[in-house]
Amino acid sequence: MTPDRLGNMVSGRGSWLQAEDQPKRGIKLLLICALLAIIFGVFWFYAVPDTDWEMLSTKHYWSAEKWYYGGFAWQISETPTGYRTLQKEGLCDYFNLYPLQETGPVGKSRYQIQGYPSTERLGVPFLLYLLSHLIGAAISVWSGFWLVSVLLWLLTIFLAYRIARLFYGDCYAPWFSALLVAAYPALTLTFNGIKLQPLGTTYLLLGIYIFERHLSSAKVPLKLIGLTVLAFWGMFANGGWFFLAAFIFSRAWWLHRASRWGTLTCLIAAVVLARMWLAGLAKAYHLPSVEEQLGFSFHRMSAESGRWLNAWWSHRDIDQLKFANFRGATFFTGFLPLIGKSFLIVHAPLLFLALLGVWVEIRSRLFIFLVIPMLLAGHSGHIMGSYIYHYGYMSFPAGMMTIFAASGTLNWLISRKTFLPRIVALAACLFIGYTFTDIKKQVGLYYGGNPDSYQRKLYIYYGNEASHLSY
Amino acid sequence: MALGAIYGAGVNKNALYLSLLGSLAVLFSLILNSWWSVVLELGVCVYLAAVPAKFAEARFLDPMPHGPSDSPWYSMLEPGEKWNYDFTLQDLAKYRGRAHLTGYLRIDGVQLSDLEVAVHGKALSDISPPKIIYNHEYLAVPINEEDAPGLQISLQAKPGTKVKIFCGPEAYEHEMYSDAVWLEFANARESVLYHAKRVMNPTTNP
Repeated sequence: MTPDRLGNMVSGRGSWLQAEDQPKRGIKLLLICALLAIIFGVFWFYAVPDTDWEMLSTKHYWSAEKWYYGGFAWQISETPTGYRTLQKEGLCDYFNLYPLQETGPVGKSRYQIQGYPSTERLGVPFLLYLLSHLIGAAISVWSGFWLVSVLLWLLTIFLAYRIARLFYGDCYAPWFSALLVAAYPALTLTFNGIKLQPLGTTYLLLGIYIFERHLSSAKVPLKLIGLTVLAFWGMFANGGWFFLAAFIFSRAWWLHRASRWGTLTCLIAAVVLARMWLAGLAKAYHLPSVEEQLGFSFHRMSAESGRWLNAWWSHRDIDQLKFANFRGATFFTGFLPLIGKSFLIVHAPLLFLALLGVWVEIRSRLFIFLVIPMLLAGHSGHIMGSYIYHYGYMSFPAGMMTIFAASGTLNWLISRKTFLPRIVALAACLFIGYTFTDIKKQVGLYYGGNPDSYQRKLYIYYGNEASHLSY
Repeated sequence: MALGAIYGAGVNKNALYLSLLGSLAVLFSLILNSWWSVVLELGVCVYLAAVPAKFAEARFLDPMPHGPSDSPWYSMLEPGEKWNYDFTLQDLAKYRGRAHLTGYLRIDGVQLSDLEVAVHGKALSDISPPKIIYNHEYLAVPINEEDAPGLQISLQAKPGTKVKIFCGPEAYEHEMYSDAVWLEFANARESVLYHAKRVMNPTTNP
């Protein structure tokens, strides 16, 4: 018996489920070929077509459904192939390129960070601006967003591979993780948007990798510096800092006692320092804040939730009180059922495999334990705004935990000596990939949580134009 | 330190950008973990800090086909005005040959219960009141004349009312379809949408 990365003692199992002594090269080759095929397929079928699913859902299904979302086009851009309609919430990612381009001191800046949410998504224009050093004005700015999106998708696949390799150290689990992330619908739906919502989770994976590889066993000064920088950058990455903080906080309880308290202390100090750093910049550059724009206060929410709990415990009326920023019992009757149901529909096969890991793959327990905390952390943005709406990318952090856990189980199955478990592993992976390919079902779940919202085949005719669009 | 020198020398005094760049550089140096790659990264970082990038600026439609500045999302349909739309129902017979489709004229706006709708000049009566969702109104008027190759729709506001139509600019290639007024023929599996421009005449505003 040997201790694994999570500090648990691992032993093999006997009988017909005994593991192979050596990994099979043929299986590894098969997984590599499958990954390349999925990457090519996703790129060809989802990235190359210019469908902006968010804009499409906003425009063409708006009145047909029973909720309002996003509004119509806020701006229209002229491109060589025609007009492109742009949604209000994503547009600031373009305009915020200008403040980053400036080189003058604070008082002389011509442009200001603007939009909602803008500071929290500043990582998107920042990455595009960095890329602009390479591509310049050779391609349109909208193609630049597309390019960043594709690169983030590839980076996410790579990080998933690296993290699974860190945790499992086995031959197949990293490839399964990469395969599942490559096809994961939250990434494959957003290639042509300009919000680049999955950035928060790409950042989460980068943070997990850096923490696990370089910081978890580092000395306190390096750990503090590393976590502070991570937390600071994450504050511009679609809520990524909060996802990572939730992960590291939970992960710390799996560390050895000496390392645990050092990590927790460094994490808290890092978040405080990063927020101070951001506050200094916010004051100098008048950076807008989602918390201010929404009028959100964590202290007020805590106090209100306390009063709600007190009234509920005493069997008093709770209709006018708020729990977790939702009035009455809405948090339990509206919010949790919606995100829970939507998450289950997308991830049910993955969850089944992940739960199997509780028995067969001890190293996957951390990830299974983290699914619900990461789901709540991911949807914290909706709690802040009291929105009852499912947004796919907010389930993405929990989805990643499920993928890592399921990869452990798949790895365990495919490493058996007998034929049947191997076939089950490959069939399960194939089935999960297949469920991800129903793109319109996934769009419905991503934007609103209803798998049926966008199932209809759509034909759109404009005036007397001979051609038409169909989705 | 290199970024601090760039800031101190006045080459780039954008502390926000340098903070983002510097923190990303620290993260990468943690990952790279070898002296030559960190030196390379330092060079790239200095370049990114010192040389402003050029990017292709977007060309926006100006002015946007929005309504007046005090309510940019809506265009007022003044009493006495008539807004006309000529819809060409291309391929509808083909779709109807495959399955039954129910037709609706869909309009988004404000105070739509005060709207008078005419098809081929004939005013429709008994229009169901609009649905109100999050302060927005949605009107769905059943259309039963889909055998025609086209439909002429007219909208008028009742006297003394303030009907507004949502400005949700549809765009296709190089054409704009600004008003949220469109036709939908649908069943549970298919939906055929037709957009048309508002017909310009002396009594209408674009």
